[in-house]
Amino acid sequence: MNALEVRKLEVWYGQIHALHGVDIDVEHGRITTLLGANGAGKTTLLRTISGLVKARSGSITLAGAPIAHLEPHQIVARGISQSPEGRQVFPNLTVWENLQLGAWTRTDKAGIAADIERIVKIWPRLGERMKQPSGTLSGGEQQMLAIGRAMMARPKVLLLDEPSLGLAPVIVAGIFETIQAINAEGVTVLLVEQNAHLALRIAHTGYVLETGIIKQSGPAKELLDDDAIRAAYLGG
Amino acid sequence: MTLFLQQLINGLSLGAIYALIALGYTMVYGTLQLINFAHGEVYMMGAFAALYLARFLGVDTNPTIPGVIVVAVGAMTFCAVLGMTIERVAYRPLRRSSRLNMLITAIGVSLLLQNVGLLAFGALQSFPSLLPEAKWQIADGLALRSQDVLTFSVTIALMLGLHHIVERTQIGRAMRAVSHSRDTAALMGIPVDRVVSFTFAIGSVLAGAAALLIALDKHTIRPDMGMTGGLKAFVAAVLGGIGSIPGAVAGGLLLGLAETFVSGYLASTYRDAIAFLLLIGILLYKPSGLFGKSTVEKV
Repeated sequence: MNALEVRKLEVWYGQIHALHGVDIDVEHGRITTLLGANGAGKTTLLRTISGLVKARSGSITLAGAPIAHLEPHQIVARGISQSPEGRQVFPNLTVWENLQLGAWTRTDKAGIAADIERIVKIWPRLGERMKQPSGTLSGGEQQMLAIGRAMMARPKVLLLDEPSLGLAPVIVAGIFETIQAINAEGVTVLLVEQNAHLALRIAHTGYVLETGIIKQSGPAKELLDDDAIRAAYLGG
Repeated sequence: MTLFLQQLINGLSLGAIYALIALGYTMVYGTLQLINFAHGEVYMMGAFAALYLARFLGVDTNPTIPGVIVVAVGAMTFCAVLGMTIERVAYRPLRRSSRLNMLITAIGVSLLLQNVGLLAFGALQSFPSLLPEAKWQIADGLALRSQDVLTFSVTIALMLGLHHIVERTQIGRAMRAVSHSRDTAALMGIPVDRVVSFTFAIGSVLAGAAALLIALDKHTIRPDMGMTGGLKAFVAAVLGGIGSIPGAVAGGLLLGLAETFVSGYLASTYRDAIAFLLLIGILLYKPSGLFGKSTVEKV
């Protein structure tokens, strides 16, 4: 069974038709990537899955159960968390407080503390900065925090919106390794990226979104070798 | 010197009241970017709730400490429910429309409650002495009244409690998260509506406490006390930097001191003018207020 299924999703922002009948399957335990240029509707799709934007029609199901009618906080409780575009850490809250909020839906204090320990093991720099306001972190550290915070909800499906945005290649490489490690532990990942090359290398399946329409999809390896995709997204 | 110290006591006492009310304005502004003009009326309703509850329980004629505590808790609870109801009924349906719509609605709710108050309670009522009152003459022309001591101690206790909630608890962290970004807070699994509701409840409880303190001090309560008191507290919140909790406290105290010193050294007729002079001054020279937030954000 697919962890997440999106069917015939129609999303409008006022007069703007943002998503046209989008279908996506996110396979259980795999990394699925959604590629596309700026303004293609990638972030809109993630926001709709998370419940921040309501679809006009179509369905979203999590392990077979419909979730499109739920409020964002209920969707997190069902097992979908998101690291949003632009990281969106709470700048006036400390690193530790950000992580605590990521665990809002949980009540197991010991488990929360253990998960914070795990995140510190992956990213020791977050550990050193636990008591700092997260607004003082570097861009890379903020991205680590945003992903770590989303992991604190112990999601079944993790949505990542452009984790490479604005970061140095060496930092991006580290973050993508961590995404793979998170996936290896059994977390299903839906990765939105503009950096198609990087995303297709770690993903199992890829989708290409153009002006709100799924233009192409298939195994990531095939998309990597596809001439049209190479020309459009991989720089020839 | 004694005049100075006496004005200092009076100013801090008045400022504490302003600060308690200003906190409600600033916290709601922090979460919804809304100037909740009805907040002054919640404060006014708190005073009348205390009065009627005291009468109902017979605490006005036979005051006891437990009785007064019941009246205080009852009035504050009433304010919390009123504040949450206003948010639920008047503001929440407008959450996705423009801020101007909410602002106009807030003014409407304020006028409605004020006139309901006038209709139900009359122009003014006297408030009974529920607690023994004393006046300690420290020096010639310098006295400390038990009401001032009560106001200081209750205000400090409430502010410590508020600080604890906002800084040390998960709901407090959620309030700060919601005030930064409602969408991102929702992505954490935070039920944003409930956090907004809680923010109104806390602000209203503080207004209820302020109402009871002022009623026990002045012994007169009026349906329009929310208009003047609320407006001054709003000025205090802007002075301190709207959205900032320490700012509301500082702004309240500053305004209280400015008013009493002006009436002590100049003339009490300038008392209200100083509040708005300060407001104009701060808007001209430091529009973000004394504690105005300059958030650290890296892109």
